[in-house]
Amino acid sequence: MIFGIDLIEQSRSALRAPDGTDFSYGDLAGCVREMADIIQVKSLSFCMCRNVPGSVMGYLGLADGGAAPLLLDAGLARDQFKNLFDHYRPYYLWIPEDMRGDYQAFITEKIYERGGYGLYVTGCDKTDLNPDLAILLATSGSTGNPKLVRLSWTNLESNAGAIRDYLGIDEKERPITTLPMHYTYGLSIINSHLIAGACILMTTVSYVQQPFWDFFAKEKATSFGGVPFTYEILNRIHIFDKKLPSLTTCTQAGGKLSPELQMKVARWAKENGSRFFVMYGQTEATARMAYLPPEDCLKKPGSMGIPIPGGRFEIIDPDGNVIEEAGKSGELVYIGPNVSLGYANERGDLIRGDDNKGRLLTGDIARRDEDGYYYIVGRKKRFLKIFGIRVSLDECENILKKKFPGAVIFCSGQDNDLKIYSTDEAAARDGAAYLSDQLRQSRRAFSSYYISKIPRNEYGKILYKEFDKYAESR
Amino acid sequence: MTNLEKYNKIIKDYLGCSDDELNDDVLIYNRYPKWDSVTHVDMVAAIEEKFCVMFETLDITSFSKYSTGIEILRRLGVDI
Repeated sequence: MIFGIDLIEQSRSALRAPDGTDFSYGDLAGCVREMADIIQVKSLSFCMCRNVPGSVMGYLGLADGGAAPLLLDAGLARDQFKNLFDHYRPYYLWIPEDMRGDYQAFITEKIYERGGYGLYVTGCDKTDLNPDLAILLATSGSTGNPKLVRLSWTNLESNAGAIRDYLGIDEKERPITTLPMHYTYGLSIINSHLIAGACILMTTVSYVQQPFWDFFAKEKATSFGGVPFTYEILNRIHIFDKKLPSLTTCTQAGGKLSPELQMKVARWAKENGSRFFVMYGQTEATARMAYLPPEDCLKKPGSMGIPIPGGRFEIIDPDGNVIEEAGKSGELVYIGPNVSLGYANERGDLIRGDDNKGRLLTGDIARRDEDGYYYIVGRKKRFLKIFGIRVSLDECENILKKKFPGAVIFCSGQDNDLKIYSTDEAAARDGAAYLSDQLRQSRRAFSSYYISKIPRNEYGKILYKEFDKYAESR
Repeated sequence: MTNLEKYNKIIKDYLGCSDDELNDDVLIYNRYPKWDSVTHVDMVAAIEEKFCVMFETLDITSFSKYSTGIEILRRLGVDI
């Protein structure tokens, strides 16, 4: 069974929620068995995720039952959900019962229910799946882009096992959810603790609200993870001035912390008797590729560490040759059993086998120091991160062009600061609000500007860096 | 401008709500669409600055609906 959950002491708590809900490993294994019986047709499913036990149970049951779930945010904007549904036409939907009304148009018969969730048949025809395919994750959590990452059983179990080993996770751990489950990092926390037989504290409440900290204290949470944005907010609510006696570990991935904040968290963690891990990963590598051992955190600021057990890095030059020399930067390549099978852009891709063959071009530019520690220095493609979530600038432009037909629109900016430029008055005025709504990200990270002309060089190449010279607020 | 008007103006600026939405039935953290964690901490910072007060962690995390902000300010000695 997935993550060996049927081999863990079956009376142990696996998933616990603030309302007193408590599912044991025996409950999980039972649910997985029942779902395997019910899932007669092995075909694609969508699992609409929330940080509640029912969501995890469905994910495990669907994956183990051969219904390769695509994990999505249960709060995904309707238009984005419909796009994905029409594009992939899943056979099953696993949805929270309290959202049934929202999904009425997509479901027919209910065939199973557990933990406040229901398994529904959609009426779509069967999709052929590759037998190695376990689950699917979206490359971009919120834009509704149909580009998915295909993950195998080996991917999931090897990455969960490697994370368990380098973090030293055992059955006494009690992580509390701070990241969404459909997000690769959030999911990796769940997986690495299930494989260790630990108890996961699941809450939908944000850490800026008191019920989160009440649950944290009552259940004596031992760890949490966060993207840089999480740590920025925790800093602003003065958590790093406090003691969290039960906390033994905190982890950080999904982008670079500012050096000042990294130092502050590292010092606080030391004082608190906790370990602080800076880590590096991508959905394309299931989740994790590297980690910085906590004892090196104050010695190697800005480093994302060393490869996880079972993995290794290469740095290559633009011709694809391996750079052996320390200090020289090039594209980072990861080799390991957690490298995904590949992408899916359409339904027919779900039958595909292993395209990547264990080797991933990360698209990140990195260098290695004399001691073998790696540093990310830049990114190859036009992506930036909004509070830890990777957003493609090309996709943002497409979303905006649909809303403002005929408008010339460009996106640029940096992490947490996405700038929209348009020669169209309406797009310049409303673009930022619209895009923040569509991506379900804070309005603060978006701004839009009017430009009278698009700056280009003599070859017609757009000069993104010149945009601010011509930009006017609207 | 009275202190209550100042408070209401900050709330309206950050949450983008109207005057008749200024109540506990509508303005609830995470239920009112614009009231997310980023807006929350930004709004707290604006309130702190305007009234020259400092919110403790418990104040920030207890601020979950329209009226709790007013209660916290009163506790911090603001005449509102």
